[in-house]
Order: sequence, then C-alpha cells, then structure tokens
Amino acid sequence: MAVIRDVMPAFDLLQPSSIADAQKLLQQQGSDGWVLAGGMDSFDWLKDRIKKPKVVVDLSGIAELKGIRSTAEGIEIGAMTTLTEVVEHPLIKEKFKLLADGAELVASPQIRNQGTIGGNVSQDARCWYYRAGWPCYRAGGNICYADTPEGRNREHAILHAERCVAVNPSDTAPALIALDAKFVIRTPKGERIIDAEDYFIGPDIDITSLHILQPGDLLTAVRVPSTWAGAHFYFEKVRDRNVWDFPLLNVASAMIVSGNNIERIRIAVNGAAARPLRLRAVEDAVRGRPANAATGEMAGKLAVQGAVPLQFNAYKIPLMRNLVKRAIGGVEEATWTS
Amino acid sequence: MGGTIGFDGILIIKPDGRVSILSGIGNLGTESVIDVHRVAAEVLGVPWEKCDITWGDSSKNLPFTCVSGGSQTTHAMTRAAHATAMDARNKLQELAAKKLGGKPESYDVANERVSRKGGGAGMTLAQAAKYAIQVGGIYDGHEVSPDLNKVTKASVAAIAGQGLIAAAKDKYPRDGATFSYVASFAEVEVDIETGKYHIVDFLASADVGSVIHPRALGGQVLGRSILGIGHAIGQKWVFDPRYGAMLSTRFSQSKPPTILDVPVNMQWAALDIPDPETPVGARGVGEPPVGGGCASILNALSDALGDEIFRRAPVNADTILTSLEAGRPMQHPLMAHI
Amino acid sequence: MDFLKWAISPWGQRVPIHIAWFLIWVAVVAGFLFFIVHATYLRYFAKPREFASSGSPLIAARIPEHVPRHSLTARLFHWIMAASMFTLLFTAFLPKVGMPFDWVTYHWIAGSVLTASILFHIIHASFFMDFWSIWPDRIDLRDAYNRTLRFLGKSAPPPDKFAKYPLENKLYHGAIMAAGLSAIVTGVFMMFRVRTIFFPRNPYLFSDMTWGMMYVLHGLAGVGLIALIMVHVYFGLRPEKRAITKSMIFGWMSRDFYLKEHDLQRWPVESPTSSPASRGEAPEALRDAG
Repeated sequence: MAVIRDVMPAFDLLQPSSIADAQKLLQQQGSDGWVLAGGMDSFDWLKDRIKKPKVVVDLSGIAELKGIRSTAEGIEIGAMTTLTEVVEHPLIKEKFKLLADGAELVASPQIRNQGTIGGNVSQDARCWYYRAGWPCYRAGGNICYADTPEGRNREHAILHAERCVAVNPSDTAPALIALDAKFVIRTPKGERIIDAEDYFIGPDIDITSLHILQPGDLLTAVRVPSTWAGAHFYFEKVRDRNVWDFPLLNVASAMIVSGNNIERIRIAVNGAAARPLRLRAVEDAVRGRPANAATGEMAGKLAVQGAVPLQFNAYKIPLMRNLVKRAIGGVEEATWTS
Repeated sequence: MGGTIGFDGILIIKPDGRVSILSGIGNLGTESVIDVHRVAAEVLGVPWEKCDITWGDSSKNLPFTCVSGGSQTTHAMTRAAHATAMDARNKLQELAAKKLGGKPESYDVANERVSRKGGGAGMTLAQAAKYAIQVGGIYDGHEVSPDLNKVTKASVAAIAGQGLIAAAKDKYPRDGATFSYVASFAEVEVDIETGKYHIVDFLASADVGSVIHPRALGGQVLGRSILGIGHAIGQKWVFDPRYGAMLSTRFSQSKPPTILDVPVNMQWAALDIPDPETPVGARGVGEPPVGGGCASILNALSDALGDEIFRRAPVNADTILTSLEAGRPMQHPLMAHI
Repeated sequence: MDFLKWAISPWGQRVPIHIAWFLIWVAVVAGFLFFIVHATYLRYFAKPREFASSGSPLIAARIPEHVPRHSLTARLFHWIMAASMFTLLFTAFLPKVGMPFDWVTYHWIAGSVLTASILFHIIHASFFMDFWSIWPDRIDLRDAYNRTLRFLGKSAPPPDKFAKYPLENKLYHGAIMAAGLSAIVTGVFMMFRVRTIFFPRNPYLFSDMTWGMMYVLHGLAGVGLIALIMVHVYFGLRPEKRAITKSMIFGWMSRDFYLKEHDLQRWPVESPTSSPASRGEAPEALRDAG
C-alpha cells in the first residue's frame, strides 16, 4: 500500500505572544509539544508524516525573541532572529564577521530569510536513514543503518561515534563556539546560561537528541561576548553544491595574533561528529607558535587523531586536517604535478 | 537523435488576411511550439506579425504532431510546417488560376498576394480566403487529403469553412537517420586540499542544422548542458543496498544543480550548417548537450587530477580526496551514487 | 499496558524493538515485595523446622570441623560470574533510568566474561563436580508435597534434611539458568550488531522481526535477572543463611551447621582419610541397621 507522505498530520497550533506564555504552554504540553521556529526543520518531519506531535507551539509571534541588541558585554541575538538579519546586521558584520560568514553559508537565501539562529543551532540530524523515519537508535530503535558495512554513510561521523554516526549539520554552531557565545535557556526551574559548546551533546549522553533542551525548555537568546570581537576569523564550509547544501565539514576559528605568533585561538569543526567539536588540543598546541602553514599542518594532524572512518567517509579525515591547517595558516597555492 | 518525420500541419488563411496556424507541439518552454512555423510566413510571403498560433490542448483542433521529447520536434515539425505552407501555396495558385485564368504555375505568392508572375492580375490572401470558402471542397477543409492522420482529419473537419485551409503530411524524403551533435569544452579548477572544484569556463558548440531561433537554441544548449554538468558535479540517486529503499528522496539529498553551480563563464555556439535532408535544414537538439556537459567536466577533472581517479559520476570532494590521499583510485568502479 | 515498544521497519512491517523500560521498576518492586513477604513470613508465621533424623552420632563424630562445600575453582567461578553479572546489569539499566554514559563496550565485554564463565561452569559442574546435585530429585519432590501438607495443617511425615542444596535453591538455580541462558544466547547474537574483537559485524544477520524478538527476550531476561539477583543477594544476607554465604567465600561451613541442616547420605562429605567412616558413610554393620 502506498504511503501517503505529503499531507501534514493534524495538530493543535498554539501561537503565544510572549516568552512567559510560550513557556507555560510548553510546560503544560511536556513531550506532546513541538517548538516551531522558522519551520525549516519541522516541516520536513511533519510533511513526511514521521513526527506527529499533538501540539505545535509557534514562536513567530513573540517579539521578545527577535532582534539584535548591544549589551555591556557584547551583543545579544534573540533566538527567533532570522539568519538574514544576522548576516546583514552592521554590528555583527563589523565585530563578529565570523558569525556573519557562517550564517551566510547556511542553505539558501530563501531559507535564511525564514530560518532562525535558534533553529539553526537546535536543528536535528540530517542522516537520511533517520530522516526517512527508519527505527534507528536516534529514533529510539536498536540499530544504526548507516553504521553497517554497506550503509550509505558518506556524510556521517568520523569522530566520537557511539552507535549513532549522524553528524550535527549546523553552520552557525561552530562559529558561535569559536566566539565563546553563551546560550540563554528558560527552563521550568528558571533561566540557565550555558557555554555554546555545552549546548550540544553526543550519543553517549543522549542518543536521541543533538542538544540539551528538554520538553518545556525554550532557547531564548544567544549572547556573544566582546572577547573575540575583531579577531582574525576564518570560516570555511565544504559542501557538494554551491548553495542549499549541508556541510560535509566546516571550520570556524577566532585567532588573536601578535607579531606573527598565535596569542590565543578558539577553533571548532562541525560535520565530523554528532556535535560541533571544539578542538582544545589544537588550541593548546598552537598557542605561542607562528600562524603559518607549518603550525597548521601540525594542528591538522593533531585534530584528526582517533578518527574512525566508515565505509564511505574516509575523505573527511584529510578534509578536516586541511581545514584546520587553513584556519591557522591560511590558504596557499599548492604545487601540483599531475 | 535529431528528428523524426511524417507528421501533419494545419493552417488557415482567414478572410481578414491573417494566417492562423494550429500547432500541436507541447509547450515545454522550448519555444518550438511557435518557432517551427516561421517557415509558413516565409513561404506565404506574410509578415510574422500577421500569423496567429493556436496551441495548448487537443480540443483546439490541432494536427497530428510528434511528442515533445527525443530531440525531434524542430526537425519533425519544421518539415510538417513547410509541407503545410507549400500546400497553402499550391491552393492559392490553383484558386488564382481558377478565378483569373491561366495555369497555377504562372502565379506567384508574395507580399500577402497571389498574383501573376511578372505583374498583372492577382488577389490578396484575404480575397483568396473568401474565394476558397466559396469554392469549398478541398480548399476550405470540407475535403482533405486521404494520407492525413485521422486526428488531423477530425481537426480539419471541425474548422472547415473558416477560410483557405491547408492541411498536409510531411512526405519529404530523408536518406538515413537524423542526428544532432554537440561538442562541449570545460575548464575546471580543483582545490586539492578540500576536493572542491569550480568550473572556470565552459563552451558547448552545436551542430543542429539551420538555427531557427538563436535564443531558444542557446537556452536548450546551455540548459541541457547544465543537466549534464549536474550529473558530473553531484546529482545522484542513492539506494540502501540492504533494503532496496531510496534514500535520496528530497532535492537536498539527490542534489540537482543550483544556479550557483552554473559556470560563471558559459558560452554556446552553433555551426548553422543546413541539413541537406530536410527542407528547412533544422534538426532537434534537446538531448545532445547533456552527454557533452557531463563528459567535458569529467574529462577536465581527469586532465587535472590524473586519468584513473574515478570511473563514474558524480565526482565530488570525497572521490577526489580519498584518491589523492591514497595515491590511487579509491572509488569502487561501479559505485558512485552514494 | 504496553509491555513492548513497536516500530515500523524500513519495509513497512510492524516489529517489536525492545521491552518497555518501566519493567525495570516492576522487577525492582517485585524484588522488594519478595523481601517483605518472605521476611514477614519467616518472622511471624514460620514454624521451627523439623526434619526426619538421619545419620548416627558415630558418623557425625567423624565429620571435620570445617566441612568443605565449595572448591576454590567453584568460588572463583561464582565471583567472576557475579562481577560480570553486576557489570552487565549496571551498564544495561543505569542509562535507561537517567544516568547516561558510554555503556555498550563495557556491556559486551562483561557479557563475554559471563559467557566464558558459564561455559566453564557447565563443563566443570558436569564433569568435575557432582552433576546431579543441583537438580531436583524424587526425595525433593516427595518432601515438597509433605511440607505443603504440613503447612496446610494436615499431618504428613517430616522432610529429610537437605542434600547439598535445598529444593528452593535448586528451583532458583533453574530460574536463573533460564534467564541467564536466554540473556547469554541472545546477547552473543546481539554482539553481531556492534564492533567486537571476536567476529566481523553483521547487523543484518537476522530479519528485523527476528532481531526485534531477540531484543525483547534479552530485555525480559535482563529485568528478570534484576529481580532474581535481588532475591539472591537478599538470601545471601539473611542471618540464617550466613553460614552458607561464608562458605562461598571461604569454601567451608561449620560442622554444626552441616549437621543441623544437611543429610550425611544425601550430601556426603569428603575428609582427609579414606575410610568409609571418615567419608561420612556408616560402617557396614550400621548401614544395614540404619
């Protein structure tokens, strides 16, 4: 019998106009509730009839969640701010260009006009087995279809894979980690402020979610401190097509250089694991060294230690190595003889 | 392929002197639905602005026409249009001879008139149309040639009496089969650290016989080259080998080319050498650019990276990087849609 | 009440995928209920034990002070198996009740240890120990019948003293054998789903339906083992069983305890000398008389 896959299942749509109302509704609904931001992730699930929430809480009417404002410590970006607004905002372009670069490479202009930064960091894995609704570990089942000897795992993880080998597909996440951003979460127990890198979790913590939000929680804002404003930034995203594609891998780094030496650096990579990886070992190893290709090579090799390739994704090892090298040493013309 | 033969055409010279052409071609946006009929205006000596084209669905009394596919339309339907225009021309000469005396061959059709060669008695096409209705029979569609397809016969029966009706089958000879050819040239630049490549320059040169509509031809050649380029740069159908289920069910997974994947420098050219086996000299062109688009990219990549890196398309960062890293081809010869 | 979790396979078939995890708590509660009921019964309702007499004082006198019960090999097996069993239970169920960690590798390693120890135990117990001692025999069944009659207030002859293991012990062993072997057999197959050092992975060794049922059986065996282990530890800590517990650590039980509970003929004791008397067998003359 043909599976009907193009009509959304019925749900109750709740449209609060304040954060307090949204929180109340989410806490009432618990795990029956689904948070709808820009819809760029949600509608795929709903239109494929794989996730069928009873209640959808639409945040688009909440003005408090939108906007970019200057604060004493830096800037605060409302979670419902669209990616286009993030890309075009003068403050972000001026001081935190790394975030503008990362956000501008997300998907396509149409998606950026509708997609939000809160949604981009909270988006679910794009593993095509998971997205097809197959009962894999991430869906509560007991197998990973990608991590089989013949599974089509070209876009999957090379690091920290534990039963589930899906990757985190966000482009803004590594940029925010490199900028030492903080995420503001309202929970039933009050407000929590956590480091960007702690927002994301791997399958060893919770195999069914890429982030720490529980039912009833709401990500309200992203705060970027001035610590790394104006630093030397590098963002590169490698994907198959030139637009509208998730990253095979991306790298984001913020580096303070004095003379030619690296005073300090924050560097993160996404697409290699189920969460964006802050490369602390690399950060420690390059501190004090010159920002050149030799340091970059050393850093790249260090970054991929422990990587475990699957059948079709071994290319991510040299790719990650080279992206880390470029973040530190820049892009150079290579000598080549065919 | 470049064309088929043996289809029909219908046109009406109306009592107001306008030429109404019935076009049975499917309008895919290729503009063939209109282009192929320009020959009627030329043969009848009527300005193109005085020709009205009717198209759209089978309730509009259209002639038996080829399908819009297989690169055949321009070839097949210019022949049919020419045959129909010649039928109209013959009927004009016969009607002039009938009304004004003499033999049909001594009359010429030009400048919206049928008149004696060298000047002299004649009538306008509008007058000829009125006279055709008077005379009836084969001149206004109440009788038709027996070799027309029954669809055409039914259409003519429905419009009989509206003017001078020409309805003819393409019975022109053709020695051999008809093919069109496209030679495609591409230049690529490969980033050997990330495996990403860009198409720096592209040219597709078409041998499709006479060029009927340059812009439409350019659209076909460039557009269909993109289809082929898309196959080379990323488009794929992926199945899970264990379950046989398709994994690339959405565009973001099957990855058709996007506008940003189109080469920035993309040119087309055509030889414009008339095909001697067909009266208008024009051949069809839909499919030929595809193979060239794909092959030129793959050949450029082979030239850049070495001949043996891959055997199948698409070629992406993964194929390039694993092969470069290993120093030998790493892609399974029969497996590329992963 | 959904005891099983179901899913739709990639071919559209409805298959079970695992047990509902609330069954963990059902097992824990069942264990506690057992403690309460048993302790209450023993404290308030049980009558003092009466056995038919057996053995003569002469033979009894030859029984050594330290009655050997479990050899070093047997004890090592037991504690290695116990350690692997606890590791298995903790790695299996702590993540399910809210303490997530990277558990799978530890789980199959412990499972491999358990499997090896059980294989050892089967061979060792079958060929190097008294194979029959753990299985209920006719006397056990007859005594069970009589004990039930006596519990109900009817008159019946008193039961014999125990062989090496009382009937309840033997039945418990049967239960844990069923649960344990179920968990082990399904567990070994499930090792084909993950990367181990033993054999190449084959996640598709069975159909989705078969795997699902295997995971369900593994889960049922696992929660069953929670309850069974709780009961086992409970008995091990009970005051009247302390001597037996100590024998699993030190290898011997006291002569008094042995004589109080165990039948010399059903569980003969080995001693340093080889005479029948020292083996706990009656001398020829007395045997005819007894």
